[in-house]
Amino acid sequence: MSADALIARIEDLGTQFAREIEPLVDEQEIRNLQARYMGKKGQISQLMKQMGAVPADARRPVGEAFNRIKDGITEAVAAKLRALDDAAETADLERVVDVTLPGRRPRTGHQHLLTQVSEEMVAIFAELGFEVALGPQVETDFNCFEALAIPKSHPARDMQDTFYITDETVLRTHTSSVQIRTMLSQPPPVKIVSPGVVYRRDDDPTHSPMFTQIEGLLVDEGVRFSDLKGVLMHFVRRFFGKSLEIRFRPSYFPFVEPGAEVDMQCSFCMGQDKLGCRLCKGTGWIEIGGCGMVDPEVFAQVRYDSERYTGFAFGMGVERMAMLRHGVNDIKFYYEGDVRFLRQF
Amino acid sequence: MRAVWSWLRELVDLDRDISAEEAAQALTSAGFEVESVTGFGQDFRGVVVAEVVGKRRHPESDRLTLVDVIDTPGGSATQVVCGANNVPEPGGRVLWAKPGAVLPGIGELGTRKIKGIASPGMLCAEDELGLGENHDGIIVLGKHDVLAGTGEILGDPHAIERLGLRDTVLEIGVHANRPDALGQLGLARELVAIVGGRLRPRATLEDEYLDRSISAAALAAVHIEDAAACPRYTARVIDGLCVAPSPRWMQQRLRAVGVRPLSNLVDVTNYVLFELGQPLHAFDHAKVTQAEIRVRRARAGERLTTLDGVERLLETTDLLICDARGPVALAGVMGGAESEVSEQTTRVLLESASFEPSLVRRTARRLGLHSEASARFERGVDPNLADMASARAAQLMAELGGGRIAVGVVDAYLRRIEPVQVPLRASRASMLMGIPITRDGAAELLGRLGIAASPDPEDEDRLQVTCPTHRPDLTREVDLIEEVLRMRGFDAVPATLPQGHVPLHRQADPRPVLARRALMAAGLSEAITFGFTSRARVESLQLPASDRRSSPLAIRNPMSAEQAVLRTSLLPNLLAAVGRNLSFGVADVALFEIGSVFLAREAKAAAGDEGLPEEPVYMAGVMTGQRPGWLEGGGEVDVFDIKGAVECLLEALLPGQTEAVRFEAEASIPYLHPGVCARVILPDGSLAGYIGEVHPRTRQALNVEQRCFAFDLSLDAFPAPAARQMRAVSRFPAVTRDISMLMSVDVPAARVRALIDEAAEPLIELVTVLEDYRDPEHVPAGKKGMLWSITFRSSEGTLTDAQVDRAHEAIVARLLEKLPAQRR
Repeated sequence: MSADALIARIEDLGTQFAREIEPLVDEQEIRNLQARYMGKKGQISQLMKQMGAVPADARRPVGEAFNRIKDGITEAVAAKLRALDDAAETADLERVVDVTLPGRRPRTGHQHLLTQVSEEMVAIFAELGFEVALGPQVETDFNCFEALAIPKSHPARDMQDTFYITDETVLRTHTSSVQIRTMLSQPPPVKIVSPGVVYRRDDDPTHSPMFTQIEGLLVDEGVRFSDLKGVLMHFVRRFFGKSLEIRFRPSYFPFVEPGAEVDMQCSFCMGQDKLGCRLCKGTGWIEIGGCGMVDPEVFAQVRYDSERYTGFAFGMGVERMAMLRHGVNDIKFYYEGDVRFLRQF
Repeated sequence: MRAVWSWLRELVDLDRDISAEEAAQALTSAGFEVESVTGFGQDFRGVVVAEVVGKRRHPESDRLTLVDVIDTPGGSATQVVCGANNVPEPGGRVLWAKPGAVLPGIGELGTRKIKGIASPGMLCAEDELGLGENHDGIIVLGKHDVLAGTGEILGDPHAIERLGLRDTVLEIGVHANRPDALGQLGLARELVAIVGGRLRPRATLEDEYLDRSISAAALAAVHIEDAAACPRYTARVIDGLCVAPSPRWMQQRLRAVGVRPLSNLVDVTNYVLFELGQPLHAFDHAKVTQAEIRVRRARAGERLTTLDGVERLLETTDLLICDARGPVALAGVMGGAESEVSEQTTRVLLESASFEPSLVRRTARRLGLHSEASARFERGVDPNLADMASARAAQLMAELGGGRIAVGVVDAYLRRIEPVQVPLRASRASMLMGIPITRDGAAELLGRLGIAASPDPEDEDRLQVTCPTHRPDLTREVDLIEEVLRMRGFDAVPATLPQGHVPLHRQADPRPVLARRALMAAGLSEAITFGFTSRARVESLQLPASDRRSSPLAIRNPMSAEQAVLRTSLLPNLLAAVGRNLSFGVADVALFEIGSVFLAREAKAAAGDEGLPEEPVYMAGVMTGQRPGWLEGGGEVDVFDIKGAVECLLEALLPGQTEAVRFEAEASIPYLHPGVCARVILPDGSLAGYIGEVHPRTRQALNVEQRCFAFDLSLDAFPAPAARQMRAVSRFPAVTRDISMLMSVDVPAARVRALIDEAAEPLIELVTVLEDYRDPEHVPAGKKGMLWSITFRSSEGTLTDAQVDRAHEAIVARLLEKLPAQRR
């Protein structure tokens, strides 16, 4: 075949390709078509084999024609595919979904409010260097009472009516027993918080026979009553995220001296609503726990030198803190396992 | 403890006049929390004292009387119609609610015609003034009814206050270490300390009430056989008494503090108890055999009928008051029925004593007899108060009962209690409180409480403090430091932060946190249930007697059967929570709990920690209802949902090792379905617990009326997790090949999986089951189709088809050889 005839043939193929690709709307068909022309056994490849018959000096224009047509085909395929993509995209963008239908929600598990609050309280005390110490719920009478300066005949035993298992084992009425265990197991200094459930024979909207406490203990040289106030103020401000004041009122717990009840400024009315505040009943203050300086009698029980070391201890109810911050109005909700309650937090 | 404001005020001269509300604030800030401020006699107005000057029958009615009264001395008389049958003779004094007066429950009075005769207002009965329940007749004032003031009461605008019929009452929380404050006197002392002022000296016995012809020593004898149990016992004798109602002010004050008035003699003992804090007992002298008092421990088997009419079996720990014949009272707890004063009593033997707190406490608790007296003796009554209280009561009895007091007192004071000397260092107080406190300042603050403190001549830091015997709570320096601070005010303490550095000792256990996080991610919500449960709930697990969990530890004094024993498994309370949710129409429930259970130890009677039960920590979860799903619904939860949650949990606690955990079919767990249950074996071979469908009988016992799936795993079975280490992530592509086989339904998936694992083909990255197909229309009976998918990947390069084919075919050949299975 002459060079000119070959070139004409090549150009025919180009025209033919353009005609065949025109109606196609499927990517695979387009690719197949491209292969029929440009593949190893494609028509163009077949035609190129005839290059050998063309005289060397006439090959150049033939080669140029081949390249032109191949480029044209490549370009046409790309353009066709682009157009198809554009059309598909345009069509896809026509879709309308009722976005007001509900989402496909996985079941989410909720951490119990008391766990959340307890962990948060522990974390705040950890900022001040307090470590977590834990102990058993069934305790010896010694760890729960005797070592805390509450002998069996002590009237303070009435203050926290106790569940007994035997004469000498009780359900702990406070996590102070963990303080005793800790002090018996190590020399001072000690800086711990003890979260955990405790038990008292009490059952009404604000008392549950089982509830959760966090108690703290710091024993070191030079620990002052004012440090106790500072630590509790830090806690209250971090927990409520407000610049609340706290105050101490003299009180009595056998294992601390002096002992105090801790009030914080009402987190709801900030002490401003002298009449209407439901939370503080117009007093401006809310009781949040008990505290005091560790009684020398307790130090004697754990064989710490009470002349050299002083310490403070405090205790707070986790339910109460959760109640104050989250408005839980009946302590029973915490323990009923009602999904409608648990899901809220 | 309740304080009656006028009563409190009788005992003190304060430096400035304060209101009851101010006093309440002051007491609260000093640690005596005033819980409420109420009152009595506050509901009526316009009621005056009136004198009867004439009376006659109503012409129209036998029941009605026309009474002429005056309300000022020498005033003109007004005629009032009265329906009571106790209208006094002229000269008698009554309470007249004049027109315009307001009475509780009645409202404003006017002039009203009664059977044709106008009655301006009315003469009042007790109940009409809201003072008591008595409606037997109108109030007729007796000679002892004027409490305060000396002038003529007729026409006095403060007559009601002077009669003690109107007052303010403070309800005060007194801490267990302050028995001295369980009387008006102790609270008065506090008020003096806070406000400034002084206690009024108590009047001594007045001569006119003494009968010099008789002496206490001749009329009574006291023998204390147990001085440790009874440091002091005093007896006075009051003679010639006449039992009658006590005056109205006394009745009102007693009602205000919570005691029902009975008669003058008994009321006086209660009155002095609430005034001074010293419990007293009045015996009918005639019924104390040989007028001999003997204080001793009870003998085993002895009996005493207490004045509530109950016969009490006594124990040797009980302390008794006996006469020559036997027991007449339970010391400090309750008097005996036989020797109590009655309407016929004319001579009283008055006991004022102190008893050992722990004995009184033990007896009161054992017999469930908690009285005002026992409450005080349990906390400690100052023996040095006994004589003063006895004198005060004798005086009141003589005065109100028209009697005379025998000279002297029989005072057996065998164990004298003296004030304690305690040193106080100002430097220690300053250090402990974090505020500067000087020695002189401390002495001054203690002085306000009536506590004497003198500087130590040899140490300029030190005070010598004399702790009064009415303050048994003050025995150590730190007790005095608290008093100093209390007087200074707790508000004086600044807020500081601790200075020292305390080294860290402990690492928190990460397992509960990891487990909780994993279970929440698996869609379960955390529940917290009680540590106790009921026997019925424990029994719902149907455990055999040989299982420790079937024998829970019992609480000796439970509040209810629902809280009678300690839980031995988390499941019963958790399943009961499911039942509760179902009962409220919440049908899709997924809960977990992580907590302690309580298992009795085999060996009994060990002391210390060995005597305590084991408290292993368990993790339990329950699921029931529908999977979360969209409009099309998610389908009913089955055992693979709970297993999936457990797999999440395993991944958290055993990172990278979950494939090595075995789930083995288990048919013998009584609370789980025998065909839908597996034991969970950890890689170290230990048993972590069980998962499965809850046995229908178990769940029905706990009111769970639909299929429910559960796991129950020991947290302690899991090792403390080490820090996770990264595994290499291949950057080359993966190839997946499937195997479809037909095999007997008896071949568990785990067997297939184990065979694949045993091939130990290093190119395997992931093995999954895609299908467990049992449709009888497509699979022969007893057979199942299983489709497994194996993903191959190399970390060294892109796999060739030949490599994958070789590995895959080796596994397929192995499966077909080892299993009764054929290719599908």
